This record gives sequence, C-alpha cells and structure tokens, in this order.
Amino acid sequence: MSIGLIPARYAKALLEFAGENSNAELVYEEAKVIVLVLNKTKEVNLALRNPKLPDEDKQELMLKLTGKELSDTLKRFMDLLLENKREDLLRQIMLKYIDFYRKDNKINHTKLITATPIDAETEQRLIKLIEAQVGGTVELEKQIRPEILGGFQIEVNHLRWDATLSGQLKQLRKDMLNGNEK
Amino acid sequence: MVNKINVSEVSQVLRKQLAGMDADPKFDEIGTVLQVGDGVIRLYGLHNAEASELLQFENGVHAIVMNLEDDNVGAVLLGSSSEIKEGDTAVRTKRVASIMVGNDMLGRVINPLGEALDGKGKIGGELYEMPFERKAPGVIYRQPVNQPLQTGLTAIDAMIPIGRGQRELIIGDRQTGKTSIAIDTIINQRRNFEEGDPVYCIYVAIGQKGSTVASIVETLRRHKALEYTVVVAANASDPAAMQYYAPFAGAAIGEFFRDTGRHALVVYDDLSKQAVAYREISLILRRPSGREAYPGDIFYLHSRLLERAAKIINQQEVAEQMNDVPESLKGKIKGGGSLTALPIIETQAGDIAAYIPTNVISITDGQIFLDVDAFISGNRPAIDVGISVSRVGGNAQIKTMKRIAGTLKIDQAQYRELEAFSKFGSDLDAVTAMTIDKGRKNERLLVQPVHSPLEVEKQIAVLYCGTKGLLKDLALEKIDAFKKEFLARLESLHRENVLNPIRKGIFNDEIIAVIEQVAADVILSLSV
Repeated sequence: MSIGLIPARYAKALLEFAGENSNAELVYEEAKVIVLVLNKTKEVNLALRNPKLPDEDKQELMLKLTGKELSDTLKRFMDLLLENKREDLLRQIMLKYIDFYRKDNKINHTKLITATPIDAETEQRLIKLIEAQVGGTVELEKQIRPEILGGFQIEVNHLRWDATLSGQLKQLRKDMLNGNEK
Repeated sequence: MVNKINVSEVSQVLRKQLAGMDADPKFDEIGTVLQVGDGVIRLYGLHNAEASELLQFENGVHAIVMNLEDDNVGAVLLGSSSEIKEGDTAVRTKRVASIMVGNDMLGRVINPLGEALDGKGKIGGELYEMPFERKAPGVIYRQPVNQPLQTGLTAIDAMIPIGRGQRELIIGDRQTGKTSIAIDTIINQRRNFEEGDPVYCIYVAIGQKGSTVASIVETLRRHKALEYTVVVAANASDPAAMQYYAPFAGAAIGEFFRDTGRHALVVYDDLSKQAVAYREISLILRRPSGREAYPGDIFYLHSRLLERAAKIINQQEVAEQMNDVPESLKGKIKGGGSLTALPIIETQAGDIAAYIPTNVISITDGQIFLDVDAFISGNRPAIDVGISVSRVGGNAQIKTMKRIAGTLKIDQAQYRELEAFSKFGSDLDAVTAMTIDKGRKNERLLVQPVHSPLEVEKQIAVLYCGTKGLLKDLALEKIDAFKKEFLARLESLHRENVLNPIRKGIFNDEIIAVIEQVAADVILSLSV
C-alpha cells in the first residue's frame, strides 16, 4: 500500500505538460470521466492491475476509457504509464491531477445532495454563498437521493455538511438510545 | 429497548434537537474508499487525518488510521470487510482510538472497543475515555517495585517473586499451564479484594477460541474472581485489527486503575498471537517485512505496550504532573498505584531463541519458563527453575519468605545437577544422597494443583519444613499427604498463633517451635 509520492509526481508532470500544450482543462475533464469509470467498474481496475494482460490490450483499454478519443496529451501520458509499468496507479494519478488542477485554478468541487430537484434560483444562491465562504469558483455536482427524506447535504473539498432529515433522525436515534441506557 | 423509551424523554430529546437544529453548520471531513480487502482499507481525502484516529462509516463500522501517505490514508477495519464497498465515505471522528473505562466494567466480558460481549447490556456508570496508545509514565513519575504481588503459587512466590509494577513473562510450549498460572494469580487476588485493598485484574484473551474464553470466564466466576476482573476478548474469528488492539485496550483499562492510585494486574494471553495479527495487518498495508516476515517495529510494538506497566510514585504532587494524562483523568490522578503485566508467549518446541520470544524476554523484568517434560512428569506448575528469573521482584518479596526460601532456588538447581550425575549409577556419599533427597522432597512440596492458590503464610510454613530438612525421615510418596495434613492442622489449630503472625511478618522462635512440633506430629501420624 505504500505507493508514496508516485501518483503526485506523475500528476504534477502531467499538469505541467498539459499546461504547456494549453489543454490542462481538457485533460481535467477527461480525468474526471476516467475516475468515474474506474470507480464504477471494478473490472477495469482489475484488468489494469493484471500482470498477465499484454500491454497492447491495456493500452487499448486505457485509450477507450472515456468512450471518446483521448486528447494527445493524455494519449502520450498513457503510453508513458505503460512504459514505466505504472498503469495500476492510473486512478490515483488522475485523482491527484484533479486535486492539483482544482487547487491551481481555485475550483471548489461541491456536491449537493437533495431529496428533490432544486430550482435554478436556489442553486445560484447556494453557489454564491459557498463562493463567498471559500473563495474561488464553485463546480457544482448535483445528486438526487430520495432516501435522505429532506434537507440537503453539501460536500466541499472533502468537507461535508450534513443537513439532511435522515441524518438528523439518525442523530436523534443515537441521542435517545444513549439517553435511555444511561 | 424501544418499549423502555417514555414519551417525556422523547419530547425532551426532540426539543433539544429542535433548539440546536441548523444553529451552526457542522462540517465533517470525509474520505472515499478506494480499495478494500482483508480488513484494510485505503481512503482518498481525509487530508488532515491523524495517526490512530478513529474513522466512522455511515453504516456504523469503525476503522483506525494506520498509514498516512501523501495521497491516501490506510486504515484497519474494526468490523467486517464485507460491510464496506469501494466508494463508501468515512468521516473523521477527531478522536484517537480509545476505550471508555469505568468501575462498572469489573465483572464484565468486553471486546477491545469496550462493547459488552456477555449479554448483560451496555457498560454503565461513570466512564472515562482512555486512549489505546499512550506514552508510558516517565522516569520521575515512577518508583522502584517494592510491594509483592502474590501469585499463590509457592514455586513462584518463593523462587521467582513478582512485585507490583513488574513485567514478568510467562513463556512455554502449548499445554504447559501458562494460562493456569495467570488465572491462579487472578484467583489469588480474592483475599486482597475481601480485605479492601484490591488488585484489579484484566485478562486479555487474544486470538483464542470463544469456548476457551467462556471456560476461563466460568472458572473465574466459580472462584469468585470475576467481581474484580475485566475480561477483554478478541477471539480467533475477530478481525486482525481487534486482536492487535486488544492488549492496548487491556493496558488502557489497567492505566485507569493505576493512575487513580489503585493496583491492577493485566494478563496478555498471548502476545505471540498479537504479533501474528500485527504481521498480517502490516503485510496487507505493504509495510516492509523483516525477520520471519514481521515488520521492523514489532519490537517497539511490545516494548511500548509493556512499558506502560509501572509503579507510580507515592508523592501526590509529583504524580499529578504525570505525562500524557488523558483529558478525562485530569484532576483525578493519585500516586502510589501500580500496573503489573503478565505477558504470555507461546514457544514452538521449546525454542526460546525465536524472534518474538527473545524480544519479549529482553523487554520484561524476568520470565517464568514452563517445561513440557516437567509438566508430563507431574511437577505442576511445570516451572524450569534454571532459566526462570525475576529481575526486580526480590526487592518486593516479604522478608520472612526471603529468609526461608532465600537459598531454595540455588539448592534446587544444585539438586538437579547432582541428580543428573546420580543417574550414572555410581555410589553416592551421604551428603550428596541427602541433598538429592531434600531436593526431591522440596520439588514435591512445590507441586500444587490447578486453581488452588496458597496463602503466603502457608507457603512459608510449608517451605520451612522443606528447607530445614524436617522431612528427611518421611517417604517421598507421603509428601503430598504431609502437606495436606500439616496445612489443615495449622489452619484449624494455629491460625491465631502461627499463620496470622507470619502474615504480619513475625517469624520468631515461638512460631518456629509450633511449626516444628506440628510437622513432627504429622510425620509421626503418617509413619504409622
């Protein structure tokens, strides 16, 4: 598990190279899709880690990860990973790249979870509120999860504010059980 | 449980909740699971997580941070791996892994997280949060070991005395009576408990079968020893992380008693299994492995655990300044307490030169080595006197015992040597024959049935007969009967004028005369 600084070094190199070629943003968008795919499909992860799978097959797989043709920068980067036998660290490198890119461009990735869709006005108000609090721009990802019953949950830069009804009910249950057993 | 909740309570909690609702947003730091397997998870996020910090998943499962890396955090799960999936989120609890300890824990069987396993409900009473990992008391907060911890086993109390605050290793092969020595020691603390000066006991079972733990609990209960004992169990089926943390939980409970000016005894049964659990975790965390595939810090693991056993200084004003006092104990520190540790190590085919045994031998203040051959030949406890030693306990031994049994260890060693020579069949001179005869009889005198610890005054009286050669005219096979009868007579006829004074440290000519008389009477009655 000790992979140390490897993902950070590759991610930094990719960011600098993409910056020089002026397509850091494009790579950022691609990286987000790759992470999503790798998170959702365990098989792809396993395939990349499989030492028996030939490099050609891995290359083909890596180039098709986003479902579209990859940018030249990322294509070259995938080749480099295969050459250095670091393809198993693709997810970590992409995660690190996303982190670095967001930090450089002061982007605050925000995930908003609600029980029902919210209107555009509330969304704008919320974005302004968060921007005022943390500075920089907000990149909003919306998710509808009816099981939270009501309220909302916001995640900004690995911080979570749980203001959902289900969360409050859970807390209430905990308090009551603790209070009852004392 | 639901039936117990009453309406007023519900409304009260709801009102409190309403008042506090949305008052100020509470931000939790979260991490996403990247990888999960074999009880170890890797999380992305949690950039400010601390080592040994407790994490919580939405489904209530806990994990403890072990690896802090540049881009991820490695943690060990305290629940089943099957309950955690990739993509799940864990929240920082901002508190280091700890256990809630209180006086109500006595008599209970718990897991390393402090959750009851005995079906008697949650641990109640006032609880104090004690961290698993805590620095041992510094040099100035300690004092030398000077009070005895009676095990009730004559062989140990006479030849390998243990003091309060000492670390004495019990080492031996499987089925040699290691656990029995520890359990007997716990049972022997009953008298202290009854006299109002208890030595609280903590028995930590690591990687044992559930049935074994159940039978140990039953033994303790049957001997009324459970009242002052806490049993911490991380069974063989529990995750490796639980087995790894179990001794730390035991140490944390012991420290609660130690730092509040009381005496405690903790038994780690056994540390070889904990080392194996730690090796498992370390290998899955991909930490570099060393000898026998154990990680490089396996010595530190045991040394930092055992260093927490200590005798705290008697001066209250110094004790109050103790280092690393948990927040919950601040203002409650009392000097003069102690924590004695009896770690147990299982050897393979008597090999004490293996990695873990040598480590723990070098850390502890002595060891009690149990020998398979002695066990098979009926000399139980099967202590190998030659290589068993107590480095600090001598200072804690009560004076009378020191006077009576001072030369016993050397005498027995000499007897063994002579006995080995006598096997060659040559004629023996009278002195040698006498030494061998005395040695054999003393060996028989030291034999003690399991779970029947002997009070120290009785040990002294019996040993007096053995070391002074009062048994020279008695046949070897009658030693057991002599011991039984001799002790019964002393208990029924001479409790006031012999046993009680010995307990108080008096051992004068009058007492000696009575002992010699009773011994002579018993020998006479047995010779008929």
